[in-house]
Amino acid sequence: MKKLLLPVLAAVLMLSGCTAHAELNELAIAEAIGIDRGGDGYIVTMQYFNTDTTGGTTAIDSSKPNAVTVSGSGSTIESAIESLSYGCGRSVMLGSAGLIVFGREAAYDLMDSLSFAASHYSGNPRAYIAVSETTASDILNVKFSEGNASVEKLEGMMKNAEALGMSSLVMLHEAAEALCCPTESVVLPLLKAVDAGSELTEEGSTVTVTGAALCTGDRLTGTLPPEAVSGLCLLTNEGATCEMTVKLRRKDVCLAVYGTKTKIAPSIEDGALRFDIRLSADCKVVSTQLSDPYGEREAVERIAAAELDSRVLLLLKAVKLHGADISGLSYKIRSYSPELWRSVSGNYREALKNADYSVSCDLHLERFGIMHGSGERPAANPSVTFQ
Amino acid sequence: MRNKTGGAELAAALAVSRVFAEAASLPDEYHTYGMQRFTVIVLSFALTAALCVPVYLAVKSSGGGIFAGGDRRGGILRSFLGALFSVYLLYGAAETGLRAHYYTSGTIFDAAPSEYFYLFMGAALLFAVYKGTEPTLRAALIVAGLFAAFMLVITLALIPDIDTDRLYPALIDDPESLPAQVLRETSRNCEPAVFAVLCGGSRKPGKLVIPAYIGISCAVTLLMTFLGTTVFGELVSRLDLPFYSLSSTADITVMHRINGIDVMLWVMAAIIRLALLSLAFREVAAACFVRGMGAAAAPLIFAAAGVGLAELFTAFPALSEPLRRLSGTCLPLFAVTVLIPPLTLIGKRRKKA
Repeated sequence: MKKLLLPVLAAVLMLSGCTAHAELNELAIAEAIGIDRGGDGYIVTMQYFNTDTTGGTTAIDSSKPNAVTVSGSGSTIESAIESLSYGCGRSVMLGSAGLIVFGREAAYDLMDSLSFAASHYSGNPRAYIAVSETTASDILNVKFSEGNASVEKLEGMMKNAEALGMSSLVMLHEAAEALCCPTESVVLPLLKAVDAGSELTEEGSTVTVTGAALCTGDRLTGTLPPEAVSGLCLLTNEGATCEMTVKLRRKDVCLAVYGTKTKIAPSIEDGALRFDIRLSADCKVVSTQLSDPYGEREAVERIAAAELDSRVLLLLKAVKLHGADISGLSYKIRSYSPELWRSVSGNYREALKNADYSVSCDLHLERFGIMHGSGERPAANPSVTFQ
Repeated sequence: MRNKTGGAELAAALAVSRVFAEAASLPDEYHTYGMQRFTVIVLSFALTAALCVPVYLAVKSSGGGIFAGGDRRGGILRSFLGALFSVYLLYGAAETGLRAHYYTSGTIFDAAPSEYFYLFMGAALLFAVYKGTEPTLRAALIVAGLFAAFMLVITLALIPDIDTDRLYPALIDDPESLPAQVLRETSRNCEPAVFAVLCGGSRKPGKLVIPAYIGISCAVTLLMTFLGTTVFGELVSRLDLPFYSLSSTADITVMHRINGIDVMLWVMAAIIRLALLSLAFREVAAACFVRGMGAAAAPLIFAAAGVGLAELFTAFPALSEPLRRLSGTCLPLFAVTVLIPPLTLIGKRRKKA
């Protein structure tokens, strides 16, 4: 037996190159995919890793663009990718795609498009999903030159936007799950390509996160204002963070909110669904014009809690308007009371539209910043001279 | 002389075999979102344990194995029971091949598996059958160890994605479908029959083999269901292969995603399961039908027939669907497990006579 082992090992090592395989430079390793509707079918744009950038002496040759953008069209997404593969002369590998952008029109049949990516054997369930204000190709034609991959910059922008409470970050499996829930609703980051003379790209264009798109069923229902998106982050992400500026006696206090905790108690009152939402969080002063923020702690806490209240209520207004469960309320109802869920699940969308919501926020101001404000800001005095 | 291979290897082999049938699910075995799934799993393993008690007692009292009493061959009853076991084991092998084919064609190959898959799997299977039961059981212990490490890595990687809000306090969502679901889940066990046949002769059935096999299989299945439910929520009902999706979602930074390892593990588990069924058939054939060289060739022919039948089932689903519906009622499993005690009793009486 042992005599056989050496020849077998040698055969494995030496003959494996004889089998069918693809070299790295024959693959189009997708970094980002854009899906648009065009004519009767789809236009798929793909940004793939430019293998020419692997340098001879360094890992990356920064003199060449790190990504190549190609596109193809077809009656289905699969056929559009085949056309794209034919066009670029490489085999498409979708496993590394970190971002899937849907054009405004393609977001109308999001579940069909997502099913393609989710069911594809090499699809990446952790790919981020976003919607373009115009077309997906507009976003993917912006190629950031900094770093190893252009898409890393976009991912970084979206993560920062979420940390600031401007946008929610959604992965493929999370979006697909939200679309499987009874109201088939999901909120996705909304991207826009702008020509801003940016140094991040050679052309000077860049991408901004402008808010969030609410997709309900097979429709792009509308957009959410940044405050409502902040409310969504606070409501759905345990430990979410956001920044906000409140005014106390006409003086600005900029606060960073963190360590959020949410408790949602659903019930039925007078035949209507009711949600009692209690939100608690800690916050710290980032900057303030108050001379004694510690002394005015209670007032700051009260005003900041009212601001959080209004953000969550703004989100719930969208939930009520569209009957869209974008914050996982169905899971909350079920885990709170399966009987209650059975009683409302048959007509859940209408139940959400007719539901009552009460929100109470409790904010604890933990830290007061390194430098306090100087009270009244002195008027500019042009006559001051330096000696 | 007592066999060198201990109960741990046998328990690990049976657990690997059972968990494979859970992970490599077929299209009509979709997992549905809900707490009832947990109830189904617990009840199914309780039923399996209940079926295993008489099997264990019969095997223990038989001494030389359930087919060892009386003449080595002959006897209409013995031949009938041997044929029944053979058909059951062959169906188990064909279903295992079908699962392996479906799993690999839906994942790593994204189409029909290549010839290398058949070459590798066939060679490994023939090698396992040629080497015999003990090396196969030891290999199963290694696969079980790899799988345990894999489960640990997946669980740790998925902790940030687990949302316990997706669990709710209910045991039964749909009482009408519960019995059928429990039977369907139980029918994935062909291991009690394998245990009954393999624990003959010099291999004494350890007291802990059955509890360990059932306990490990149940715990792993519950963990897989817990992860699927808390990570995917309602989406789990629409996933073709939930466990593959879990390993695709698990991001462990260095290796990015570990679904390739997942497929390798399940292919190994499929080989172990096919080898166990083939080796069990060898015992049945040697006791009931053939001797000498014929007994040695029987498991090889059985393995080839099982894989061939699996391909036939894949190509013509209309052939396999009635059989799978019948198997889903648990009647074949009940028939095999219920017949073991009287068979042993008859064997013992003949031996005494």
